[in-house]
Amino acid sequence: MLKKISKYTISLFLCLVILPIQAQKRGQNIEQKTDTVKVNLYNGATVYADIVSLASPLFAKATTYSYEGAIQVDLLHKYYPIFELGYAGANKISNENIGYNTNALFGRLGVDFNLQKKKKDSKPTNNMFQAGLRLGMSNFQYSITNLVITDNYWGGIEIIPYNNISTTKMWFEIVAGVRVEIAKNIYMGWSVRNKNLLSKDNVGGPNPWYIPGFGINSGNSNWGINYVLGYHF
Amino acid sequence: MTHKHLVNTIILICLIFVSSCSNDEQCRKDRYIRTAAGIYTVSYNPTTKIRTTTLLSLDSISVQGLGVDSIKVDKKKSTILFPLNKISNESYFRVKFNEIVDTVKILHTNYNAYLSLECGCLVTHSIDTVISTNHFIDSVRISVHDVNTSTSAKENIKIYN
Repeated sequence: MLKKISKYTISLFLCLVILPIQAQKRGQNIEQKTDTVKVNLYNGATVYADIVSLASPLFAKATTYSYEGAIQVDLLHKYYPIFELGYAGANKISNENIGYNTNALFGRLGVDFNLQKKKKDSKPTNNMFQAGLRLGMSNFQYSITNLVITDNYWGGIEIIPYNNISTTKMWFEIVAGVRVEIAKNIYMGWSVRNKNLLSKDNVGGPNPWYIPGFGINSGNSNWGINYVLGYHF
Repeated sequence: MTHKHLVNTIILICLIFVSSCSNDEQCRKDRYIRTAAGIYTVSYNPTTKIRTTTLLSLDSISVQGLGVDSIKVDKKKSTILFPLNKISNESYFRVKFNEIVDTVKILHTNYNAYLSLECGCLVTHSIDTVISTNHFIDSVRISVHDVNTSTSAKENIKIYN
């Protein structure tokens, strides 16, 4: 009987001492496991199409148009390198009856950063608040037509031909926006971008009124808006 | 439609309206240029031996481009404005100082400066030579060769009586 009691006592002691230690060890293992959740470097790519650029020609008196899409890669759920490609153009006649015509491809290369901090108890989410930078470029030809100099005093007119002028313009953009996963692997979001030309205009020379990918060239910075729909692969 | 989708749709509609706003198509650049000539008289004081140049105000000055019908008449003025030819590099003027007539020939180079789609092109000039007959005019001198928006307040030519 005494033996049995001592056996139970020892067993109980072992249970009380060893089990918590084992549990602690298991807990440590779990904690270690949660601490060392491996984030893949590559987490897929998302292909976007810009909806605003598709819809805006319907509202902007059809003087300009721009169609663009993008492919964005998810690296470490933090960095999102992006390549944007588009086709844009303008066919405009000003109040002075001067015509402007251009159309060309443009490209932008850049990176977005996910600024949304993950809360400890929150559910994992693919919604993001992003901010980033872009470097844009377009090599294009433009024509300024019906550019006439009229001398009202002496009489006579002179037509200045600015046809098929080839130029390359570069600009950088500061971008901020949100991306929301509206259905599995389908993303929707918007971004606002401030565009600044790196290539300056010629003083006195012909300058493009519209730069594909940059927009209307007013000599200052330009604003752009994108509303995108994307699919994550 | 969830609340989130509704917000997204509203944002989309706003963005389309914002992006479709038409640009201001008014030309707001300075396009005013003028070629101005001041009329001077030089007096010499033999006792002090000092030559004094003073601006001369005339009762009537009329300027007419040769071959042009329009005559511009100014009263009590000491400055003449010459509208230079934007197409040709030579401008001839018939200038009537009170009742005395002289012909002024201005040779200039024209430069076409593109401003913008809203403003078009501006023609600026560089005055090379000024020649005149000498009925009222004694001599002429170019003081500022460039005729552009930044020199519109300056006097380009000095005419001496």
